[in-house]
Amino acid sequence: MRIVVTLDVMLARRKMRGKELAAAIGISEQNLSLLRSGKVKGVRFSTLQRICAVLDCQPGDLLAYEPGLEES
Amino acid sequence: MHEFMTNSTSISEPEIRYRRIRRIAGVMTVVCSLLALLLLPCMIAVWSFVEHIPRMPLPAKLLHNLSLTDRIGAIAISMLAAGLAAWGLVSLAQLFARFRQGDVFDLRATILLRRFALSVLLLPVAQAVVEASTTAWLSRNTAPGEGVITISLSSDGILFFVIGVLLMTVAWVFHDAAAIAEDNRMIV
Repeated sequence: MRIVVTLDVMLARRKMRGKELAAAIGISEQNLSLLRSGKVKGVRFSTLQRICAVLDCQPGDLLAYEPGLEES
Repeated sequence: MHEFMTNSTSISEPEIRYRRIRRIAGVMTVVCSLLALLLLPCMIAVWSFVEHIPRMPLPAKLLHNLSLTDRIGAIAISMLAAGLAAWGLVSLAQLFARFRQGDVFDLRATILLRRFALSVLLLPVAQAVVEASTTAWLSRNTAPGEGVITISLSSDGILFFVIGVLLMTVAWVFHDAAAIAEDNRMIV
């Protein structure tokens, strides 16, 4: 995977649980879990916008590009 | 949303529909499985009493005094078409089993629909091959020059082929739609 989701790091920094974030942004815990583990094909801008608003961060704080890794 | 009252609980309309799908799909799974299982016994029964079956699509003179070897060979040849039909029916049974589990428009279901469509499409071809092979088999011991090979294509066969092509097209569209839906599900 080339794009790595670093949502866990931001959640830890903000001392927030996944369950609380899921409720705050209005997606299911299952979908948030998939997003945290990077097992999704994409993130909607609207979802990204809500996460950034709740965690008070930038999209770049949630996603990272790692060259050299195989794309899955 | 409409709600319906039963004896002591209220059931939502989607739940009623889901239960109906499960019930019908369950029945169809059993029916298709039974039909697939009955094909071999049917072939055996047909070739055991073939002399007494009117309007067999084979020359009548080939069906007199059949030996056990003739009958076993004919059953084996007939299983080419029957096996194809059984494969289609098993695919259909698996498809209904998925419907019963609630997986109606997933990729696997569309693959099973495509397999059933393929079996319908190929059935007339298999029947023509079976007919030609059976006549060749049954006339193998006739005098030189009296051997028979019958090749025919009935209007039923053409209809099956056309329905098979249509089903294949529908299955192909469903498959692509299911792939798009699956892709969308992977976007949060």
